Amino acid sequence: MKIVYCDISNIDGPILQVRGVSGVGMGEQAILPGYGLAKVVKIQGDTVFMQSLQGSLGVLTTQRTEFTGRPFELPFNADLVMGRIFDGIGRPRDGRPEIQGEHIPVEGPVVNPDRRAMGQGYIETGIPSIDGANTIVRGQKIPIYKLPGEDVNHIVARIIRQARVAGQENFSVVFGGLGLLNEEYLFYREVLEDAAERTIMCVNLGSESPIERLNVPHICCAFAEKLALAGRHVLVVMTDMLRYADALMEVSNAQGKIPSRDGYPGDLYSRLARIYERAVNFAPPRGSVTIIGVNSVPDNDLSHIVANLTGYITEGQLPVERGRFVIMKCLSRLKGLVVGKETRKDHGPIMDACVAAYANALGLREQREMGFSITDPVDLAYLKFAGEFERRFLPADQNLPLDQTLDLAWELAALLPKRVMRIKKELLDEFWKGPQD
Amino acid sequence: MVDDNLVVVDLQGMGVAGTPCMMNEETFIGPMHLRGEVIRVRGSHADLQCYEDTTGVMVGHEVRLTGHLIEMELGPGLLGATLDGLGNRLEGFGDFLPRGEIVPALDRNKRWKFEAAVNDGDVVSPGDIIGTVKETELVEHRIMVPPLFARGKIKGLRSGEFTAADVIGHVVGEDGIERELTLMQRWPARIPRPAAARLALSELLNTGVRIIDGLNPIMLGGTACTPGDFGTGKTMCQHDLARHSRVKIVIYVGCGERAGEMVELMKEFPKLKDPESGRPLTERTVLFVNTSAMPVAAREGSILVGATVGEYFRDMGYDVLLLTDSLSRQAQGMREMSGRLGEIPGPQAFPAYISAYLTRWFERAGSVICTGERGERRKGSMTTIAALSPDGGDIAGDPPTQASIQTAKAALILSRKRAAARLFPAFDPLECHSKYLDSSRDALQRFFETRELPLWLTFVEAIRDSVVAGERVKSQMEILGERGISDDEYRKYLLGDLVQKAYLCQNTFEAHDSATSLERHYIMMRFLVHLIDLFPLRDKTSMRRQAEQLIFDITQVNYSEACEGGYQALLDSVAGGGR
Repeated sequence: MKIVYCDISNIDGPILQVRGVSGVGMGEQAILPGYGLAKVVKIQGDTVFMQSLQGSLGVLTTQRTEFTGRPFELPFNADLVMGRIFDGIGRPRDGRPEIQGEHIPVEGPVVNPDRRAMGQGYIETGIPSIDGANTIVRGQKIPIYKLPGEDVNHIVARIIRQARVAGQENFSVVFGGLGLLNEEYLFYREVLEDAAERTIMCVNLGSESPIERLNVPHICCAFAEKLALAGRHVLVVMTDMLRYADALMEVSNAQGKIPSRDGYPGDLYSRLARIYERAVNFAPPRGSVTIIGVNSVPDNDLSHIVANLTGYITEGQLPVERGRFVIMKCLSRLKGLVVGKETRKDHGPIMDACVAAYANALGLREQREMGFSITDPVDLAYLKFAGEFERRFLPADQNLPLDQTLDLAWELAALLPKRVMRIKKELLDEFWKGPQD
Repeated sequence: MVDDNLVVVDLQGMGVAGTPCMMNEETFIGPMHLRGEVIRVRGSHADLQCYEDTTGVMVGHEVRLTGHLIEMELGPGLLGATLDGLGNRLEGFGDFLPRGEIVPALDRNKRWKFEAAVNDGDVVSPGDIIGTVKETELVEHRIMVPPLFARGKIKGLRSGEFTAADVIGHVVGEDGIERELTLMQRWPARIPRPAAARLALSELLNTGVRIIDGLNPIMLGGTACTPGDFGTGKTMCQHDLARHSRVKIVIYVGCGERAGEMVELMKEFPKLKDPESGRPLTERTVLFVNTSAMPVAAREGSILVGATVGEYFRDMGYDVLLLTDSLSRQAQGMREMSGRLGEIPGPQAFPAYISAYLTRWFERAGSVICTGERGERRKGSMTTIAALSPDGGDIAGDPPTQASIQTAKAALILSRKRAAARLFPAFDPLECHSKYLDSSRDALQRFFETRELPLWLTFVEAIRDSVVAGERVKSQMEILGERGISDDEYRKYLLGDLVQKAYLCQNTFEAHDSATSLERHYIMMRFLVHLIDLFPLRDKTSMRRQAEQLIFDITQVNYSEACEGGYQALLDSVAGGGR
């Protein structure tokens, strides 16, 4: 059912009002022919408030509006979407034809908690700091925190190229670009070419409408959910979620909503949750959706409202500084579900021991920097260990299978005396590579 | 008007002379039958809060008024159930949550064996127990005369197998009206259920968590809040309380939090055993699951229906623990709605009534004499412990957190610093407080005396003093360094540190350390108090070595089944100047 109107009475930022309307439903999609798309966000009497996805630059007050009678939907076809690039309203941006397939709602219903399965299986990224010390479980949601000036695109690209699910062929990646710079877009397009057979991209550029940006995470998750229901394990990687929050602030303010903290709207938590909570593990034979969201954190301050709410919603965090994961601040809340159960039995103990040793070494280093001389041979061994750990284990630009990551950890641990390892004797007997004390 | 989950309905348009409408009346909106509630009336318009996603709602859609408030079904079948924030049974839905569908909380097909406890002609009043259903091995479900019945005579009540909705008999009221009895009843979730009398609190809730039971006690029927930033172990703490607390019934409300955590509870509780009976924990637990992705209004639903179910089991004469994670999400939901209503915002845009609202909700907790006139008077209680998630981790500046700390009589504050140092549970011993130590001191003393633990409160004082002294010296050391303080002060620091690591810290993965009974706790405190006395004053390095060794040794004893002998051996070695 289409209803057509020929007047726009109010234009206030991206919010357009049409008067004298009836029969239009909340959340309905509207087409502004010759201009773009809009979504109904409020209905007051016979006035409809629409959020124009393209903003309002150049909108004529005589602009036609066609209400479609349907919520915002997206064409989907599992056989045709791989290797494709879409924009913030689901149109191809790779110059290839539109997808022919079923129409799926972009913001679909919530998964019944009763039908969720416990997290199992893990995503292998090839990056030792993640796989070894902060294993990401299928169905987990976890942010990568970074300073606004930090460039983590090479890390994200690695994850897109390298990620795999042990023993599973049916693995896909959905990449969401929110407010990407053109240069970044070109970079990610090349990444896609390397992994076209299993990757989908949905990209909104920084120069494009921030309102369209709000759709990108939902489009990514809608694709991922569909693929998961068909039995695939899907990793959604999105950058940068701070831009999502900023776009949300812009729209909320235009609607006259009262801001709650730092200018962000009061429903920021619910909005972020509606994205991250789409991470899910279905019971086999169906698959899973795992979400990694890159999130800039101004001043590295985790009490910044976006990072803070994200922390409440997600299951751990992976902060990056100067191209390396800050291993002391990283946390994967779910790793206990798989470590030592689906991975090698030495996985948990050796990684805990290495991280504890590294923490100890950082303390020693701090003392040295304050002018104390470190002479104890054990302390010196710790410092040597820390140097090698930073040189060989922590860099993100690696692609190691998990077994080799664990072997590397044992190799580095061998720089320390065996007796300071707080590891069960049987494991030490089996795995210890260093000299016997 | 439709604005997200706010729907304004024109009452004039609904009938010739307009339709009467009740504040907080339950409504169903549009052809999708979305559940809503009247939250404001202005002239001929009523503002509805819709409990579901309003996509597709149009101006011109009809709204059905039900004539009653939002109600919760109460009866056999609640235990072990997983319900959403409006009391729908989640197992009745498919992969995704549909809109506008209702799956009643009580399964209408399940038959229960009912044993009548009164005979025809017996006079009964509201609250009287008319019979029982063995709902689970752990819990006898007591079927009561609903609160709004008139006093009257039993007619035609029989034992047998019934579904929750079957008529099992009648009460012929003194007002001449005959009312049907069923195994189930309904109660409006916003209204506290009546009790014959509210009592002063007289017993301790044994949570098994030492920093609570010892330093910051919660009374049975009391209130507590656990505010903490993300990653400080709030949810883990609520899970532990649900597992270990010595109560008859646990109501767990997951309000606006991660689905994954709730799945953990749902999958784990059937496997975990009640420490006393060895039965699965599900047999004493009702789970309410409202995840962060569900519509925000249902968050309020979840904390209200949770409290209602808690009061219902309290009315049977049971001790109930109501756990809520997290109350902040409900407060934030109210903030969203308040903004849409155009109310004048208070601090951080929260509505001005947030503090009063939370106080009313906390006040549903209590120890009561249950209603009913037959037989012995029953005593029941509902204890409320709510987690809070302050925005920005800012405990001091978050209005819902501050309101809760003000109202709840025990404030158990989780610290990021302690969580980062892996000291779990990460409660900050200097920030936490329990007002019960003052207001219920005499009651607590009597309680411990009847349990033959007469020196409990004295021990608690000594241990608290040690922790406080240790922290004071620690902060001095941060300025003066280790050499800047006397050996005696250093000793205090070491003992405070020892008490924190060996007593306040608990390992939830160790069977004998995860929950501490009052008797074991008493032995432990007595040991520590003696140890604080006996610990020899020597040079700093020797004291430090000894303290480190003691922490290790005590922890080993904590993990072992029998502890008394182990502690005694440690005391002997310290007293004998060992090592």
